[in-house]
Amino acid sequence: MGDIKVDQELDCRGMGCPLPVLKTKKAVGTMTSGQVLKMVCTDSGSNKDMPSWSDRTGNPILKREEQNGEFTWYIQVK
Amino acid sequence: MELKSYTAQELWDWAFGSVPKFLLLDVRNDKDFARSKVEAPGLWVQNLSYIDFIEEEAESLGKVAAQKDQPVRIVCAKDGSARYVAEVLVKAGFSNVASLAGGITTWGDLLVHKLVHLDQEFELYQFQRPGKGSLSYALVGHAQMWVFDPARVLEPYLTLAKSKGVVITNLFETHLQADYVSGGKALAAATGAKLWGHPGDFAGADYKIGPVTDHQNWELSKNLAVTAIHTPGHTPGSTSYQIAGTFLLTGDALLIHSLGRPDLGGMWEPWAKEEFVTLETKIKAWPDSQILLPGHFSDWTERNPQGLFARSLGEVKALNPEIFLPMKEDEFLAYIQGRVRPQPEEYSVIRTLNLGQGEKSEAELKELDLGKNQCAASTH
Ligand SMILES: [Fe+2]
Repeated sequence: MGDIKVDQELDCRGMGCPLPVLKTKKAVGTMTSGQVLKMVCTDSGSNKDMPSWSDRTGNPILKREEQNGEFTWYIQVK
Repeated sequence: MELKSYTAQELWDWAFGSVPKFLLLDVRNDKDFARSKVEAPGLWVQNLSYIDFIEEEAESLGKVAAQKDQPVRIVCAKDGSARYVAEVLVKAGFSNVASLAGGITTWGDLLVHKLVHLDQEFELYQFQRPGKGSLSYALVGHAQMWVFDPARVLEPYLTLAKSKGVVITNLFETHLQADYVSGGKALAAATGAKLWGHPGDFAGADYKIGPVTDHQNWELSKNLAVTAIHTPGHTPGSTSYQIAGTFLLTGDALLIHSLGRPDLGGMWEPWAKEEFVTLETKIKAWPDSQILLPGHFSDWTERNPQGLFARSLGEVKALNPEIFLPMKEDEFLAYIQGRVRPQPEEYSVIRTLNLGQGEKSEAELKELDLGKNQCAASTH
């Protein structure tokens, strides 16, 4: 997969559950279908909760990166 | 407004006490819930993910099984999501809501100890770990405490030793555990106690552990000894410790329901053959009056009326006719083969850690060490 075009970024570093999911939901709500949100967080719980949220809402996760304890999620708005 | 919180110990006290009925609402995702849900007899549990509350608040509130005047106790992975859902419930008019401080791992790490036996010579305690279904033991007497199969969280053993005014001097491993992180090495380091385990399991350990031999004796006094009985099968080094000629700490060699599965090492047949020999030549020869104190339980129904996982060998024989009836080797192998099943993927990581290899952060250990054991030979 080539570079993903990011339409909006969201920094959830240092935030614990439920904030990464909550803020992702809010951000996605302001975006339009097909746009991509890049969300960065440090909560390891996101590794289970983001896929679970994606399944629940139907907004696909295009890519996940992990580096130095930071998790980056590329989410496409359905 | 201030949100109420509660502790794992309080959850235990309510679950096993006679408090009014409460709903335990687990707001983790369904996979985590399936892997490590809170279990207690008669406990009223519901799983509704906090993600559902974020996405569909009104619909999720409608699914809560409790009435608004009934107590609701919420649990999540840490405690942020539980507090989030607690707030939603309070706003919707629920009058008695609290969240578990520290989250599910505090339940996973909870140990509760109960007295098994008390006489002039010694006291014997059973430490029950409800989140894991594992059991460890402390023998107290003559100013010493000996611990069998210590769990990762050391504080309960250190606290008991302190309250009894005794020193922890010996630690015994019944076998290399696969389902929980052992506290043996750390407790030895914290107390200076000597650690013991059978080379069949611990020959490759990266720390100091005394090699146990079959029939080895440790004397707490001239009237009180612990004797090792090599009972291989569940693992090659599985060892039972007999205390005072009466109490049999078997690890998983014999359980109240069934015996330890021999397939965790990845070669069920040779280990099952060893287990058959142990069963026929050793376990079946144990007198009915001996008291079994196992290393794990699968079900709360295994407790006796005193709330202990302790049964006479006579009772255990009656509870497990399929194991104790006369059997040929091929019948036993067929019995085991019918119970070979996949093991949780973290077990190989835990075995490696229990040999002193690999490093994990405390947060990773807590997560790894969560969830009920799957140590018994059973069909589920
Ligand atoms: Fe075991």
